[in-house]
Amino acid sequence: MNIELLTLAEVDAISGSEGNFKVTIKEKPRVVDMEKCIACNLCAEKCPKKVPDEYNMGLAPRKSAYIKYGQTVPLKYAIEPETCIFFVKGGNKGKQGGGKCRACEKYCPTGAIDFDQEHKDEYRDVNVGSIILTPGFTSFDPSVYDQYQYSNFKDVVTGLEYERLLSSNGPCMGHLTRPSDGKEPKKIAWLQCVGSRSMNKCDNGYCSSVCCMYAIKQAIVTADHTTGDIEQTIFYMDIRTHGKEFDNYFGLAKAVGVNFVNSRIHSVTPGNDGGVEVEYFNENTGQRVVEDYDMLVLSTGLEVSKGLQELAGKLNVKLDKYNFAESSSFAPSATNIPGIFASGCFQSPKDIPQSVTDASASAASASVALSSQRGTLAKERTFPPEKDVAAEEPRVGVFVCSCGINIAGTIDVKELTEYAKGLPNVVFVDNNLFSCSQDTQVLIKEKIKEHNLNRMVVAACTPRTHEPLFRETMKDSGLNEYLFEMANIRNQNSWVHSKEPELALQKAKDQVRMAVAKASMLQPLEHLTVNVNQSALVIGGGISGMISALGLADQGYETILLEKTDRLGGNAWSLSTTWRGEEVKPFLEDLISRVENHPNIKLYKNAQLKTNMGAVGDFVSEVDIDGEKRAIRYGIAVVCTGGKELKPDEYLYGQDERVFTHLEFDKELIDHKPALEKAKGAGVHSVRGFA
Amino acid sequence: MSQEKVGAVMVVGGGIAGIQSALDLADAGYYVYLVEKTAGIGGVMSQLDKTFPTNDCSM
Repeated sequence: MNIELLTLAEVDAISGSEGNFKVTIKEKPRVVDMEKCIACNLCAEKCPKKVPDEYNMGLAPRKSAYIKYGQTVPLKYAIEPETCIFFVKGGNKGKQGGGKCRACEKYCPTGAIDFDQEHKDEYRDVNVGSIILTPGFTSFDPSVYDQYQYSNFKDVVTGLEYERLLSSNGPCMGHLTRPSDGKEPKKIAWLQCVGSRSMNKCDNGYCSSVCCMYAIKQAIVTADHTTGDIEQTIFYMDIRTHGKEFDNYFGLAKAVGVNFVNSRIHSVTPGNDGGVEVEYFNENTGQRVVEDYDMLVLSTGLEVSKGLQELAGKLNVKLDKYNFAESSSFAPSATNIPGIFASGCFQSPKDIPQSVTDASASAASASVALSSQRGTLAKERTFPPEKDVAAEEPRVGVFVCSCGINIAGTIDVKELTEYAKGLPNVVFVDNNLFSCSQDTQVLIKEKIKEHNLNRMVVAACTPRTHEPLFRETMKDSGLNEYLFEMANIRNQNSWVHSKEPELALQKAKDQVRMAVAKASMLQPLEHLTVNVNQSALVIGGGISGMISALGLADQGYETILLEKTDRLGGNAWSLSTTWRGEEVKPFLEDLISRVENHPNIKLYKNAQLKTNMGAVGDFVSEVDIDGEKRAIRYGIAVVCTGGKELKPDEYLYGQDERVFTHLEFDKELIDHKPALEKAKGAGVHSVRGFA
Repeated sequence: MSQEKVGAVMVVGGGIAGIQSALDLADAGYYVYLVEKTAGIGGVMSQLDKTFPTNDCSM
């Protein structure tokens, strides 16, 4: 409610500075009246004009009247003037030259489409204090590599195209088939680093950082989308699995039989039985290998979208040589313009968890300068008054989620739905493709009203991620949010019993029956209001702890920072420069000085947390400060206790003074100890390890 | 010239990063304009089948 979505919109002009920008937004016409559209799909069904569907990477058509995908937000159809027959043939410019068709207008049951009205770009000005740029990336177009035959062979696809082929809401409905002839592929190859780490045809001299992992993922999940045996081979230059749990995932791929071949495919020719024939050199034997595959997936890299240079130009935001936002290692979300921040793949290529972390960092940075204005423009959400259902008999509605094929691929959701209809107190049951989508929330609200439901059960995934959404739907329907129960038939059932669909169905019936029984006994609960302690605790005074403390303190929150040694800075004291040559010491000294002098930061050195009690909003801890025990209270805590370098007992470490860990070696570089002189000419070998 | 600060933020791009920034800011008490050039938000993440390394559903 405090997020206003401006779709089909782009930044047209900007003026002002940090704290107060004026931005002109250009909104293209949607043609469909969003207030009236009920997303019934009739306009798209009747529209005679087929165009390639961008959402499916052009692998399937959509209509000129369309939504991007079934769960799209906002769930309102749009008509594309560039392809719509009515607009292409002249629109409403007079009776003689006017366009015809108007099928969608004729069939729209709510009158949401009006071609008589003029539809043109609209401009509006908005005032904002900060701007965050998250325009994302474009998948590299591999047509420039003639040898991979992407433009000529249908069975050569990009990583993102393959993603659509796998997807349950993609053109194959989750059951993978080969684009050329619709056969199920049995042997698939991936080629890594297409459009990344290459200056030959694309000037992309950087690693896109996600392709190794997405290729491994695609190879692992391909088996779920096909029948029988499947052979997957990944041709790579280096496998980069640097994120949390990533290397285990790589190990899993090897364990389930995915082949990894350290070689680049040299050329691609038509296969003997459709598909492709690839030629490469086995790097171990030096032998030339020619092999047939049903499909070849090019693991295409991430590029900044073409239009972004124009946007950056309008905002005066500097770009680096690859057109990503220019930023320093010490403030990665900041651009060269105060008040404008860059996040996600526009900052640098990155995966989803990193994008989310990055986005939260930008949001925190953006709010620092505006903290005095917090809450001045935000509105509070109101819900309809709660119905008193205490005296009513339970009337339970059950919504069974297919979760694409996540649940429906294992459990017979139709039979489960029929079964639920016969359970005590159940008055309505429905099956949804995705129970969590916005359109389903609208449907649930309608059904609650229509059948006068007073309890709800959703048989889907985990309440940990989705319960808040359904509770909100309950509140929107005037029901107490606690008259709701979830049955986790995905994580606790279809995912773990995928090989036993019959037993999984039995278990799902049990789960739904239990959830319905529990829901029937639920009573409304009321929220208590308690005061929240608006102060924070940060544990650890390294770079991460100090940045966290400053972020909180700059927003006006009292912050306690605990450091277990007598000096802030942590491991960073051992580092001389970043790989880009930025000096660490001046940055660190500035950071320490800001932390030590900040009026909102209480710094305790030689301090360790001993106990922790309470819950979010009101924690209490015992802290040992210089040997003295003290109690502290706080509302939230950020743990930044850092990492410790592994000290090995191998490689002559600790026995020969010429053997260093990398942190010790960096420290040597700072201190210029004579040991370095001794090492001159002896060569430096690196053995890595970080605990 | 000093101008009064505005308690609103613009996020340009409605992919996963933009959505996360917008939600954080709105939760923190700012009014957010989320500007998306296509007809709906979700970006590339909405096109993915599953996510690594947990094979979670991307939708």
